[in-house]
Amino acid sequence: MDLTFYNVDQLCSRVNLTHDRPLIDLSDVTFFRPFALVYLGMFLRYHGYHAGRGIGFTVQPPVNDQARAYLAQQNFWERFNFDPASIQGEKLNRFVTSTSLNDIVDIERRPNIAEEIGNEVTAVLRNSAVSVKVSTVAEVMIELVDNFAGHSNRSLAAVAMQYYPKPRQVVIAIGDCGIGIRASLASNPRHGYLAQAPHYKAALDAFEPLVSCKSEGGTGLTIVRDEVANVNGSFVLATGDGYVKMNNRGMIEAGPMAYDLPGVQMEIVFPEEP
Amino acid sequence: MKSIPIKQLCSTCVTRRRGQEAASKLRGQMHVQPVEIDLSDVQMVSASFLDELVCQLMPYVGSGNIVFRVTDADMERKLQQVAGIRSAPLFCRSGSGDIHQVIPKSPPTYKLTYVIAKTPEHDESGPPS
Repeated sequence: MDLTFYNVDQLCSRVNLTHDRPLIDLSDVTFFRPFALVYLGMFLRYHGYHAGRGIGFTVQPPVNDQARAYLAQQNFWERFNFDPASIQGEKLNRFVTSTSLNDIVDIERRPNIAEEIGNEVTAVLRNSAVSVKVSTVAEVMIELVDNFAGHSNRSLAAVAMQYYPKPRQVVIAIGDCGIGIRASLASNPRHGYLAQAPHYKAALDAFEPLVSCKSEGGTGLTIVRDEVANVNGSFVLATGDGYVKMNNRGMIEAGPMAYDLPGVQMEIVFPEEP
Repeated sequence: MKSIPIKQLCSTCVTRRRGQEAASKLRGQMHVQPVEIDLSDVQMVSASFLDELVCQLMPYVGSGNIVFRVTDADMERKLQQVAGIRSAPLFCRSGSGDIHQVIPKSPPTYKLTYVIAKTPEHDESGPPS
């Protein structure tokens, strides 16, 4: 089974959080899409520590060798089962230094974090033989990291970047378990009505120009949408129990997720140029 | 016309924060008008940066006292985006050419559907084999 945007929310909804050590069954998983990795990571991080519950999860690891090795290589359990407030600096450094196209890294909220991640993404892509428009990938990443730093009210997020040679695409994913798009927008009195709206409605509005928690209005997600469409890319975004998806023909779809996970989790696909 | 390289105003040309930083330094130099903001010697200028710069300098931008010097079509496309979103009359000069008004570009219209249960599309690329 591939764990992707289409089923990772269902997997999370089946986890019984009332148990002392809730079970996460990944035994059937043979492939982790970046979105699923980040979404599952945020699920663990949110319920593990952000909710103040200190839940320890029991994990049924993948039977598939490659899938199991992939999680180990990404330090997946250690990465998402820690308390970001108490982790030692040395260990965090190991988690936040990207070395290749196939890494997942944690990002801390600090003033220049978006520029730093943008520089790293640019360097990694330029040092590889991947023929995507590097400036577009970097700009989209910068916008999304800036959104996390400016709006999530959380100190830590995760970013994953993968290159798939067969479909010839670069895929990035970013996720946090912060306040999410709806609460952020509703903090602006102009968009206060969204506090009672479905999450997907708030997410759709966030892609419109000048819709922001700031009074002067913002353009971050509008730019992301238009830049991704401009290179025939696609994206999925989840926030709370809603999602917005744009395919590579610029068609947008919105609806409910099976699980209500706080924050924003997003995956963007950049196809290589012919 | 006084020409100011953007590199003199900020270390990078991405993020709103840098746009704010550049705008606050530019305000101090607006006693001589018009001013050309030279974007030609930077590798990357983000739309957010430009948007913030334009918003902060709207009184000068609106009166046509600022001209953006660009070198590639992509940079002018971003100026068009900002002009469209902010309804701002922006002017630019490509290379050594004449100054012209940027044609505002509104965001594209996207077809929207609501669905109850998400399902993968058939044409979506799967995992690597």
